[in-house]
Amino acid sequence: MSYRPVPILMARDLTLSFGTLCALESVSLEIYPGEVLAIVGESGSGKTTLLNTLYGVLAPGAGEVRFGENGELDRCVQTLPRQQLRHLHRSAWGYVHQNPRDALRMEITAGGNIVERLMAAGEKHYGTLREKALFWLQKVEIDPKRIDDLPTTFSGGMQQRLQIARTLISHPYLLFMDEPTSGLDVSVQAGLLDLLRNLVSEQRMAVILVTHDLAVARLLAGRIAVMQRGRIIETGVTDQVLDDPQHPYTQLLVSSVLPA
Amino acid sequence: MTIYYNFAYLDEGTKKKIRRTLLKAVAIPGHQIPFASREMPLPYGWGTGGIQVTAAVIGPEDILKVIDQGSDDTTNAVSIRNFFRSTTGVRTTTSTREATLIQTRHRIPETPLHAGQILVYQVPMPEPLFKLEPRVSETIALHAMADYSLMYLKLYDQITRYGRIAIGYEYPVIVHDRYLTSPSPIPAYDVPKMHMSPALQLFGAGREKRLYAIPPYTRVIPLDFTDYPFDPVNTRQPCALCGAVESYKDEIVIDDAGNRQFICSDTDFCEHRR
Amino acid sequence: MNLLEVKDLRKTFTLHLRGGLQLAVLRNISFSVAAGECVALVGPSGAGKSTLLRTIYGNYRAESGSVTVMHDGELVDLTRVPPQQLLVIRRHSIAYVSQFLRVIPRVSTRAIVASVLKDQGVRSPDADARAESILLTLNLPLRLHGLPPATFSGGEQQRVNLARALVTDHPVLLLDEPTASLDAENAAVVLSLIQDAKRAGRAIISIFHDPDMTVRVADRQIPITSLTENDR
Repeated sequence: MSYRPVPILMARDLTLSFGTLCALESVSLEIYPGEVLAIVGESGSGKTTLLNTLYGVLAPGAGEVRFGENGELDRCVQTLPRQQLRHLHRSAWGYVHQNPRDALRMEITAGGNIVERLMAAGEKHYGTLREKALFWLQKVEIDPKRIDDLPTTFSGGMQQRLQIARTLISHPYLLFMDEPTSGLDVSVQAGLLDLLRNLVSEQRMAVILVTHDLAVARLLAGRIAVMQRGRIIETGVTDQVLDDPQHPYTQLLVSSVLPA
Repeated sequence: MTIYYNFAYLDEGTKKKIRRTLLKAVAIPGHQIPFASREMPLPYGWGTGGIQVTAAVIGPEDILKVIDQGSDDTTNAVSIRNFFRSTTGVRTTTSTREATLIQTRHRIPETPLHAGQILVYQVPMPEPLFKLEPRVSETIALHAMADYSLMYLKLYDQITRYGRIAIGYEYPVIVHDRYLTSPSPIPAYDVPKMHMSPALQLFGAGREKRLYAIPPYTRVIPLDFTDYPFDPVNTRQPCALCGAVESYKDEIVIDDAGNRQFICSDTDFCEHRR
Repeated sequence: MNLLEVKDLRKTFTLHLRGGLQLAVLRNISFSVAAGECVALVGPSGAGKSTLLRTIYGNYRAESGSVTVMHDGELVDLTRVPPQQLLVIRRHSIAYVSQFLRVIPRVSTRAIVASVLKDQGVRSPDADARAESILLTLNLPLRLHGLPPATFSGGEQQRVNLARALVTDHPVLLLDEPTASLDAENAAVVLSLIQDAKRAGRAIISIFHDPDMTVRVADRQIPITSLTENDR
């Protein structure tokens, strides 16, 4: 019995330039069900550009991103009608921003923020919505008593947890994360990383995680792709790439990390 | 020096354009259509949208009624009625039953409308999502995708804060099972009168330059939750003048001691009962 | 039955930051380990014993040769599988205990050990119970289970590391200096656990810093020596 994993997302030869600046140069990659792929690199490497191109909010000059939950890869992000892409973003896919304020509605209560996706999907029973909000507050370890508080009264770490709850409530099979812990205090990061690990494992989500922090990549990701100047220069099992880097740039990156 | 205006003040080309836009509005119930709002002899915020719609559809045989918050005799109602009388010469009336064309600010008459009547609403803000999403580029997309979760969010939040949906006026409705529409700032209590009305309902927003329409016998359903259904508030006090309980009331302070009376907001309805 | 077969394994490191300096570490390594066997890698410090373990596990990329492991009833070459499959095989069939404990900070010891089981799909009360059980066997008292291991002593951290490998039943175990920081009493516990693992039919490759341990538990010894100029 041979093991043939079937990808849920496949990018081929993505190229994107901002004017004369080439941000992505012929980038190809695949994501498999339930796996966590970290995209690492220094600032300017193109990792967030890549994430946003895969997600569909940036249009590449060349190349395409195909996807399909069942491995059919029959849909293409670039040619998907806007309404379908929007629906995808609010249900089967999720995006966790570095700054939770970019995703939360700060004038709506925590509970409201969490259930927005459900209302968009047609849930019209207030009691049910409230139940689900309480459930998810507990799941992301926010005191359920804060369900009617505004996010402006939450700490940064709590806001990030709220963003995670709001995104995961629709049980996406693919999650995009852009530096989910970078904006937070170090003391808060650990808890959030652990939460993410548990949720990802429990929900069996695939995750594309952009981070400049190799330690976060090592802790969360099974596979890693290293980017330099718009290209993926090395990719493989995380601990292998970080402990036995082959490419000169990867060796430089790994050796540059300051030990705590 | 006498100045003569074209019939109903606007030139024929303008009236034709507005009528074309209204036809489009009627064809897509509840959907806002942009129009080139003209300079009118009164500033924005005083009913220029409603006046342009009335001017576009009024004919010499029409009988016009103009009300403002239900009353025929406020300054604005009187001024607008005079304006049309002097630019068209049509018969005017205070009787809802008798009128063929009714322009209204912020109320629907208590007396049920019949087929053949046109109700023209003055609309300050045609976009029901405006307070939640001020960007027109966004609201256009939301309407196109029928994505109204923002409004449900507002309702959810109200239930959280007040234990009930507390929207008193300008209650959001879904027209013809498709578009989220602002009924204009009529009281929530008036919204059920819009549903399956025999009359043609036209909406004009002059400052915002939008027209929309609800054809006769169209479904108009207020937004709510299944466990928190639409339940508008109205005082159960009888009218101090005519004794009516079901009509929408104005609360009027009658002396310096702060004593108040509830009186029907719809003056014609009240008079007929007395 | 052989659970692990290493054939003509070769590993050279290329240090690009040193102008492409090549460090040859492993040449022509071949051996196999059967179910119930414990094989000890012996040799001087720096000879490449840890490197060999890591290369077998896939932590280092093999230059050439093969590492075949029994997974799901089939022999699979770890040096040739796609990354996703390597991760699956590690989750179920081959476990590695390094000398370092690398974990998310501020996560409890119990949760760290239980997460290995949860990755296999074992549910919470069960996973936590088994984690507790192995931690107790390794003489880590209950009061420590709720604490993150960052403040533990070297020996305690090592036992947490071992717990992660011993809580499951991966058929192949790779142990890098499992008793290095342990006192005699705890080392004895570990030895007895290794004996249990052997009896359960697991295949074990281990590096012991103490020759006495080697003799007591290993069925065979494989010498690893530093490469001379001739070998390269």
